[in-house]
Amino acid sequence: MKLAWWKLLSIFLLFYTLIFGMLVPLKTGITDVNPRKIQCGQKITLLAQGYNSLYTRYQSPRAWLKLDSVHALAATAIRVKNDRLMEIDFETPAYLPDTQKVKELTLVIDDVVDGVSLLPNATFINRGDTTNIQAGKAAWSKIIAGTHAHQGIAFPYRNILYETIRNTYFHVPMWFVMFALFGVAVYYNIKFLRTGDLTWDIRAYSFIQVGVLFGLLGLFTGALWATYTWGEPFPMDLKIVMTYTALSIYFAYFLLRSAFESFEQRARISSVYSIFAFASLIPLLYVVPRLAGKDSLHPGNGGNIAFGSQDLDNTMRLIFYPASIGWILLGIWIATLVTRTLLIEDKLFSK
Amino acid sequence: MKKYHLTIFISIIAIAQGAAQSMVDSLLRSDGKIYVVVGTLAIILIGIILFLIRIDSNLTKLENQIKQNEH
Repeated sequence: MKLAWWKLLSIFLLFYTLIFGMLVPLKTGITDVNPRKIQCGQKITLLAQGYNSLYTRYQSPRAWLKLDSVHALAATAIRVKNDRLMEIDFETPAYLPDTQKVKELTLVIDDVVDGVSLLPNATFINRGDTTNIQAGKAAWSKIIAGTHAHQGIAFPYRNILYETIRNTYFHVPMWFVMFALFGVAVYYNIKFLRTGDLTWDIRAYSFIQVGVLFGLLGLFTGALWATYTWGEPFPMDLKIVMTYTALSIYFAYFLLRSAFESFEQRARISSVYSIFAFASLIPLLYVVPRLAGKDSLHPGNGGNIAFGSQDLDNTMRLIFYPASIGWILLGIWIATLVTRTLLIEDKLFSK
Repeated sequence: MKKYHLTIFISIIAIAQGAAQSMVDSLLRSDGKIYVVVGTLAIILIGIILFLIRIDSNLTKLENQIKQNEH
């Protein structure tokens, strides 16, 4: 038996996705900082916990507490405890260049070995009494410059997400597969409506079946991912609600098919239905969640910026695009298996 | 007395379930949440395998049909 080239390509791409998607490490990050509350005008020691870090190999580590784009406080001393633990001393001046009483600070650590890593909202600083404004202004005006890039191939480190950023290669392509299969089904539906050949309807039916399978896989993988990142399996997110709607429309397709006795009538009406269903899919999944003023949890929707450099950097693109193609080809492969089964069935029973 | 037995039984099950739940929870949150990715892959694999089993059983039915037609 010789496999078609695109089936081999699908196998190759999915292996590539699994191997590199799972084995490429994350960039260095900071998971936790202690204490979470500090005071102005004190000597403080922050205990920073690293992720994928090699602190003991650091040559000349530098650290800052960043207030905003122009204000940062440099560390006075850094003591490395082990690869994952580091003590950083700061002398906070009795002055805060901000009108707020309490302000969140970002911890920035930089070294040649791991590159720059940061933790937003690392600690909160309390203003306290203001004395010696001049010295305070000078202390806060340390600009973070000359930071290093991470060496080697790595995925972005994101707090809360951590390793689950790899789900981008598994959860997101499920929806692409669903979309592609429904799209192919529409092509077959049009073919049927033009020719009246029932085999085209059978092809469309099997592609929609597999499309719904991948839609459900997308929903359940999303539920697992959301439980451990957004806090609940099915948050009231506009994109998720629209997905329920879209899947319900396609469930109704199966109900509609089961309602007809005549094959001709069933094929004609369900073909027209499928075309309209696909036409509603685009506004439901891609337009409405973007138009809504309310922020969405999903990247690229509402006020949430699209696959920005933090969500999908160039390293991730090297895996995400092949992964999407690989999964789509796998979906088409499974759909053709269903088609072949149904075509044999059709031949047997139409005799 | 029987009522108490039932209450104790149910509470033991509830506690065990809670413990199992929190064990799974802490596993999935450990090691940078990598087991969430493993779980995602498992869901996809299970879904695809169940679907393949369905195709398989449909094919078996058709094969039997063809055999019957031959006789």
